[in-house]
Amino acid sequence: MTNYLRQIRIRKTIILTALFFAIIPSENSSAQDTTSADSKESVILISQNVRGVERERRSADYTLRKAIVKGLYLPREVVRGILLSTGKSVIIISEDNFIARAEDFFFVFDKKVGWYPSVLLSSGFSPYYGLNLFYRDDSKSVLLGGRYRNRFKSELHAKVNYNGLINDKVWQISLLSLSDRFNDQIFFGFGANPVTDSRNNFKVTSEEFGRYFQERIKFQAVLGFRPSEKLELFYTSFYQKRKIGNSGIGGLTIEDVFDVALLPGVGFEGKQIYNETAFKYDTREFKKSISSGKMLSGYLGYSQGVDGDKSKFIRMGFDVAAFIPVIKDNRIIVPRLIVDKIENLDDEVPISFTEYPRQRAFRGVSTRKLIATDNISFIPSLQYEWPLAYQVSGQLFTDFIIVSEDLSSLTFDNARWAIGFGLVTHQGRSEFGKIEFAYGSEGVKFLLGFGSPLHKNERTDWK
Amino acid sequence: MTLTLSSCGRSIIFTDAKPVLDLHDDQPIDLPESSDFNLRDYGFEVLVQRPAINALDVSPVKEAGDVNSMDNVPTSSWYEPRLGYKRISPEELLRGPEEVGPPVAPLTVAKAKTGGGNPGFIIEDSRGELYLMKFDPPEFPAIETTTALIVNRLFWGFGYNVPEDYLYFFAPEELTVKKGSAITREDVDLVLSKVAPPIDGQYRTTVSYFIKGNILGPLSQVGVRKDDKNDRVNHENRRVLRALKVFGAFTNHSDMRIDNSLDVYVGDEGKGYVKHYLLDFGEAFGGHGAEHDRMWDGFEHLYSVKKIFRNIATLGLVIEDWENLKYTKWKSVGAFESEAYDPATWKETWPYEPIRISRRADDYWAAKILGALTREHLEVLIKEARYPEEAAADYMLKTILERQKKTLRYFLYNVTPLEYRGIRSGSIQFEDIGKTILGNENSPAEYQTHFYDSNSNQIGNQINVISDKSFFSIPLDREVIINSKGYFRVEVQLILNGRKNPPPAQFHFITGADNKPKLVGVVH
Repeated sequence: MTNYLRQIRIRKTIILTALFFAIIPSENSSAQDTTSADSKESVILISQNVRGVERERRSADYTLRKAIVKGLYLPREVVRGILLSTGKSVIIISEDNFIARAEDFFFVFDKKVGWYPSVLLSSGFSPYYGLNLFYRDDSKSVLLGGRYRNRFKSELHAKVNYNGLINDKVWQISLLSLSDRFNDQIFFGFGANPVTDSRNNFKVTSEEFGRYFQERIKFQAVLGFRPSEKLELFYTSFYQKRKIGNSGIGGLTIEDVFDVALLPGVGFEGKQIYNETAFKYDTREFKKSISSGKMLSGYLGYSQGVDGDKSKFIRMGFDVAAFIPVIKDNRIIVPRLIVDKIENLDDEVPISFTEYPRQRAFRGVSTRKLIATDNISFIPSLQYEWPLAYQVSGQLFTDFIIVSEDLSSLTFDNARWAIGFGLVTHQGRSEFGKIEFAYGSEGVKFLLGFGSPLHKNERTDWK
Repeated sequence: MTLTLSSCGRSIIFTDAKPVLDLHDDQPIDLPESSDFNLRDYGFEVLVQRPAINALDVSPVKEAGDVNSMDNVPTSSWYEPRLGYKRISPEELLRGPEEVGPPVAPLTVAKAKTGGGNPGFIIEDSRGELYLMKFDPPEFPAIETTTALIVNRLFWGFGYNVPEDYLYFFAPEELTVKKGSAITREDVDLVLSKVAPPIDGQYRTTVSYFIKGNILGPLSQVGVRKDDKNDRVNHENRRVLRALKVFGAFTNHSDMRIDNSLDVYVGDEGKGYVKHYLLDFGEAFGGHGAEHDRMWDGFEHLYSVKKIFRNIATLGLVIEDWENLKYTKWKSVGAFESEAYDPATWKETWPYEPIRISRRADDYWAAKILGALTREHLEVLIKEARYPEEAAADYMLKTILERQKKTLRYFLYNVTPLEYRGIRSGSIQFEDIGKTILGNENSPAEYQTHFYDSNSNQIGNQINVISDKSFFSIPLDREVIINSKGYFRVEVQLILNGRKNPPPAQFHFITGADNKPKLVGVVH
């Protein structure tokens, strides 16, 4: 009975409310009076159900779907929240907003002159702070910059580029001056199996590698010329001063692990002038992320010690690769071989261990580790690359490092190896983003890189 | 009982009302705020944000909200019934949106065009009318100027609001720089040096008349414009936008980004309303793919996480059909073709929400309109587009007709393609639109008919009819009308090759005191 009375009261309230709104003209309805009869009808039409439906249909799985939608409410909102905040960040950093305003702050004189700070954060290390200043126009650019982590790890550089045309052929000259310090380099010894190699004079320790510190000053000039689209020629000349010492970051130093009296380079300040000619012939289409073709590059250089440094040696090497299409033009298998050789021209003066070939192309270990080096270094690799999406490709690869004192003792025994998968984003042929997983003789390696760091593996920088 | 109901779903019931033929969404409103387009934000939204959210949302897709009880789209500020609803002659289609007409020489350059991928100008003609002037890319002469005209007129024919676009030729000396403008003659020459070179001293260009009114920016693909009270249906639920799936597939208009649409406030401030336009059709057909050297144009989205994972898993060993495509020998055609084209899997470059959630009925509606496009229409448009090579024009006609047929074959038969044609001599008359448009390729066809009351209880007997003609009738038993208690629906299921593949078409009737059935609703 009580329920019945309550229902009556509710109905009364609804009816009275409806009457109130029916009698009292709203602001909207009086506005409509001023419009034509046709538009009055229209207002009714657009506010009603255009479909003319009294009861909507529901699919058989309607209830189930509704339940799932409710169940997924929280995860959906979490994802939405994360993405919205990420999206806002993208908007804030987009050119039309933050960067456009920041550009006015960082770039002056018609954006020809600018400066930008840099910070590099990596786990296990204190941050790198840096600053760069530059000038650029159509044919010239000047860059001055530096970064600093601590008194053992810092870098200063200045680079001038000038390019032009000779008979429609592109040429470029680059001048670089560089001063850097690193205290986290790691040396494992000479030979394919350093522990058993008699040239390595290990002290009795628990470690088979030692950390070292390096300080470098370098002045370099590179002249480049492109006689055709596929061929580039280079002449490089530099003066370099390098000093090697013990690392100050903890762990066993190079002196703790090796008898440095018998290890050339440690505690010595090497000074050299180096001259090199090089070429690169590449038949691949530059605009395509993946394309078939052939690539061959080679170099020959001579290093002469100066100012108390008596060293004399030759560097030479080549890098040859075939980009062979399989199934389609953009699925390619790439067999590649990189060979580097160093030849001492004066047996009386041993070459510093830091001058021996480095294997930056080997993807199984960090480039700061000189895991295997000798007079000759081979890096055979095999890669399969295929498209994943627009300007995104996948790579499956296997890399090896084989080192040897001379060609006759070359063997695959003790070769370092890695297999891995990479996901690469391209801008034309060049890579501007990469996620790479590798597993092999040196353990697991993960790489995540974007932008210019991917292009810093310059061969002539025998860091 | 509950289980039975839930497994069958619940049928729609229509009211006894006249079908809405005009949305009258041109009521006076205040001038709404304009919106900008930022490709980066847009890319994040459509390539990252929305796919992630959609993956966690299994809500049933809503039926289109701008559809009347007869399953048609009323006239509105978005759409005007043309092809498929009235006779449009080839000449009328060619005139299309023409009101002001092409520019009248001499022309002056008022500004350089900065937006979009291709360089161009804003020009003023001798009458003071403003036009946007766009050119072909140098690598593919005539590819966009031909396409822009043809597809602009096609979309006009499909019922959309489009700007007045014309094919226009001029000699460089005919183009002068407007006094007082920031642009110089050197700037003009620089722009002209970056476009397809002139032929016989004449540049080919598309001129697009500046739409009059307050420009409000692109129309969003989801939600409504909040400061437009006429905008009552979420855009993703508008059939006119969902139908772009069919029209886009047919014309390979893959560049379906919102910046190729425009909201314009027409009329005096406070008395006007928002009219919705589609624009920039020059990169349909083979244009977008050729300009960016993307053979996958129309076959893949720009990015799809699903596709990336699939390609990782298959190591690229699966070859897609589009990977075997080659450019045709005509630069004006690019790689436009009809063989690898599959309307079922066609994709716009940037995911477009109304296309993603388009339902079979929306596609069917669009297909009916597309079916009204004739060879004669296309011949006139292609002739006017002036392909530089006659063989290219022939190829385009053949290819467009083949694509049309493929498109219709798929989208018409994704439903039971029946239209109600009245009741005569105690039988309901139907027309199989599929047969009318495509001929008798699916003949004879079997139609299985059931009758239900408003509670979805079957009334009357199942009737099977086999017909090799477009028009056929189903006897309406008096018992059905009596048992219907005032409301019944007829469900006709097309059976092709023994398979009940498309869902049945529903025709809802109300019977009054005179027991005369009156059609009140259609569902495809």
